Order: sequence, then C-alpha cells, then structure tokens
Amino acid sequence: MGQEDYKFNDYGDAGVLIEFSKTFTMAAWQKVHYLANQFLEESIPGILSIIPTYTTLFISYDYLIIERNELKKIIDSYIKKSTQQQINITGRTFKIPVVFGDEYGPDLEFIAQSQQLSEADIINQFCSKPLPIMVINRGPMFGTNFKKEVPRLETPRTEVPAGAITAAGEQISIMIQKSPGGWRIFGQTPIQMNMTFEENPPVYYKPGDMMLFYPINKSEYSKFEGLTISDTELKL
Amino acid sequence: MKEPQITINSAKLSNIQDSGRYGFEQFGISANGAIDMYAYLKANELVGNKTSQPTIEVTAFGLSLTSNVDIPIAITGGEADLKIDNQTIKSWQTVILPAKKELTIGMIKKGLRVYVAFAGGIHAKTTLNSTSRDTILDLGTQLTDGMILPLNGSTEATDMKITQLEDRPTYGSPWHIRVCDGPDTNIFTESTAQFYKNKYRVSPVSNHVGIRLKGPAVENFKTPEILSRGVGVGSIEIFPTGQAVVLHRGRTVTAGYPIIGVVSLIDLDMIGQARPGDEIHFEHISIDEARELYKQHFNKLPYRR
Repeated sequence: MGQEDYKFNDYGDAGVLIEFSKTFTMAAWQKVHYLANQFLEESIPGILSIIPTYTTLFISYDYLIIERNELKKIIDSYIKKSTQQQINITGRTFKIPVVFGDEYGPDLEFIAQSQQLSEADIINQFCSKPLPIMVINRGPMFGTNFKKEVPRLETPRTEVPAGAITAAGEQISIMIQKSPGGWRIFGQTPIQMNMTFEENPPVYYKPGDMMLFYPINKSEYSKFEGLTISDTELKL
Repeated sequence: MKEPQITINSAKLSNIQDSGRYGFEQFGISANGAIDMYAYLKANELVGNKTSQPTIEVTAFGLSLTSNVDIPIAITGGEADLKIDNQTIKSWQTVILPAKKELTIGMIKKGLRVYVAFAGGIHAKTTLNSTSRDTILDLGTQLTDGMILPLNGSTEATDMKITQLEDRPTYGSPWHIRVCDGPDTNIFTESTAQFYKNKYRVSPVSNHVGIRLKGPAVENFKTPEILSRGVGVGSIEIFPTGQAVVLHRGRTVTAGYPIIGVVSLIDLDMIGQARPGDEIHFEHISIDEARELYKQHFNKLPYRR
C-alpha cells in the first residue's frame, strides 16, 4: 500500500485519526490492524495510545517527545514496507458454545422477525462459519452475517449478563461483564472472556482471531461454566 | 520501628490517581489518571518526588487524614480551606504534616479537584502498571473512611518549595476553554461560529468519563453514519439532539458521535476542574498555538507522566 491510501486527520493538538476508508471494507480493516500492530510491537517513545477499530486508527501522542511530522514519517515507512502477507491478518480459532433464545437470548425472536427468518435459520446462519474479531472494546466485536441491520432496543436494559451475545446494526458484541446495554440479546455463552488484569496482555484474544459459535442446550450450560477463552482454542 | 502510614479519617469522594494507565487502550482500558494533570504533577514536584507518584484526588467535598510520622506533603488544585488541626496552611507549596495531627481539606470552593502528594509517595494497589482509579472497570482505589495506606517511607527532609504565582492556574467560573479542530470539523461548518459564541453550563451529570454541558443545542448539522472509532480525551461530542459532552480521562475509548472540536491539552485540566453549574465559553485556537501554550506550561515540570 502507499501513502495515498490513508488520510492523516489531526485530532486536537495531541491526537491523529488515520483513516483508510469512510465505509467498511475488509481491506481497510486489515490495514488499520497491520499499522496498529507495528506500533504495538515497536513501542515508540511518545506514543501514548493506539486504538484500532474498523476503518480508522486513533493515536494519541506526546508532541514534546515525538512531533507530528516525525509520526507521519513513521506511518509512511510502515506503510511502504508492508507486505501483503503482513496485511492479511490471521489468527487462532476459538469454539464458543452458546445457548440461544428463551431466557438466554430474549431477543432471538425479534431478530428472526427483523430478518424475516425462522429462529433456527438465524442460529444456523450465525454458526455457519467462524467470525473474525474485528475490534476489541471491553470484549470482542464482530460484523454480523445477517442480511439486514438489527434495530437497537429503544430503552436499554439496566443489566445485561456477562456472556450475552448481542447484536445491533451490523455488529455483534459479546458482553464480558455484567453491564447496562441497548443491544439485542440472542444468546449467552458460559465461557468467561473477562479481562485478566493480573496478566499482560489482559485480554487473551485479539483482532483477527476467529470465533466459531455452536449451539448447546440449556442443560449443557453448567457443564462449560468456569471455562475461559483459552480452553476453547481449536488446536490444529 | 513503626511502618509509616496514613489513615483516612473522612474520605468523601476521594480516590487515588497517578498519571494514567497507558498502553492498554487497544483493549478498551481507558488511561484515566489525574483529571488536573498539571496540579497532580506539580504536587509531586513540590514534595521532591523524582518520579510521578500516586496522589489522592479529592473531589468537591473535601477529605481528612492523619499520618503516623512527620511527612512532607503538598496540596494543589482547586481552592479549599486547608488545616492541620486548627492551623490554616497554604496550597501550592511544601508543608510538613506532623505525626498524629489531622489534615483537613474543606469543601472545594473554586474548581472541583484537589491533589495531595506525599514525599516518597503512597503505596496503593497497582493494576497494569498504574494505581489510577477506573470507576468503570473498578480498578485502583476508591478511598473509604478508616482506610490505611502505607507511605513509601521517604520521610527525610525535603526542600521546602513554593510555586510562583505565575505558575499557578486560576480556577473558577466562567471558564475559557480553548478548542482545536477535530476530525469532523467539516460536518459543523455552519454551526461552529454559533458554538463558539454560546454560553454553556456544566451539568451535574458529569464525572471522570465526561462533562455534560447544558446550553443551546448545536444546530445545522447532519449526524452522519460514523463507524465506531477511537476517540481522544477532550473530544466534544455532539449528540443528535445537539447537546454536547466533553470526554475526559475515563472515557470509553470508542464512540460514533460526531465531534465538533477537541479541548486543547492545556485546557483539559481546566474543563475537568469546572463544577456543576459553572459557566463555560469555548474559544477556537489553532493546533500550533495550543502546542506552544502546552509547551510553555508543562516544560517547566520535571516530568509529564
């Protein structure tokens, strides 16, 4: 990729938003995470924060240590030396059991109706292939493989349980801890994905890793309780 | 030998803050850290700390504590009545807190936050290399009445320092907050002029995460579809209703609302000191001006983190 591939948008006096595309494309997402990984591996003095998402990378920096133009040069050099192999992010696969519907997924029926599909079709579609983790923000986030956007709840729930599999718009998010939320809940996993603050990195999975979801019965839920994300890694 | 320690007699809304939990925002862990970073760093400098050490960040309602050893302390930030037992003491300078005498910080009268630094620092729970309080992930330490915090033990004599008047920020309403362009300034071409003329007031629903503003709605803009993206501290988000919120150090690291501007680093401390009900005016400045102002002010400090 070349310099013309991105926009360097100044963001106040101490930030920059690197933008590869206005709308979502896999290519833009890959470039964002390639660039983020370069910064995270090299830990350049003065770089305070790296936040990669779908099509943009936010960087905050101490401009008394690293000047704007130096930062831009570093970005250009990373981009210039990138190879297609580095940009094609690959990752591990985790197999995640999910109880769909009923009290574990009270909005499954709503989602099925919104997609004009049966509940079984929604589950099959969701579990049909591994979904790549696109973004991490206190939990993994994915694109949906549904055909239509999922409307949010008009009034957010005051409490969404840990493990809830939720959808809104064209995104899926797994709640890693109990919190309020306005996304539609269609299932729940017993696998613990919460951050482990005693460890560094505190999050086991990363963007580019895949999660393959599969349905389990309510009666099986307790069997998986206590397992953490690393227990579900598919070893090849 | 007795272990040097402090006892929190009355905690009110106080917690431990340092310069922030950096290096984890890619996981959604916000840096947090002292809201008024300059006051925090200055307090550390005044007690002779060679690196930035955890301090107590007091919000609005004051605090009282006792030490079991004589310890140099410094109190910076907003204005409040400060006493050791019945004796009035001054802020922005080194003070010796004698053993078994009570330090009392009264209600904060101007500004919202006060910092208490201890020579050698205090020992507090460290998570991911920082002691900073994160209320959302429940990291760090929220002080409670009766809590005991060990002092790191440097009770030896320190230079008694006084901050020059020119190096003390002026706290109090109305606040003039300087703002730089952000990533979406072009969305607001027809509304920025009005935004910079409007008067806002700080809503009571404000905290480390964000300062909500009450005032005229920002108009004449279209809320575009913005994919979730990283947001910087100081971002002024405009909700579809036209209401504004200034994100602060405890913000959620991604969001999708348009941003009319970004509070300059130099005034990020000041907006964080604004009390509910205080008046806010925003002034547009260039990024170069903002950097020069920050440099003049913060380069005098021995460290910035």
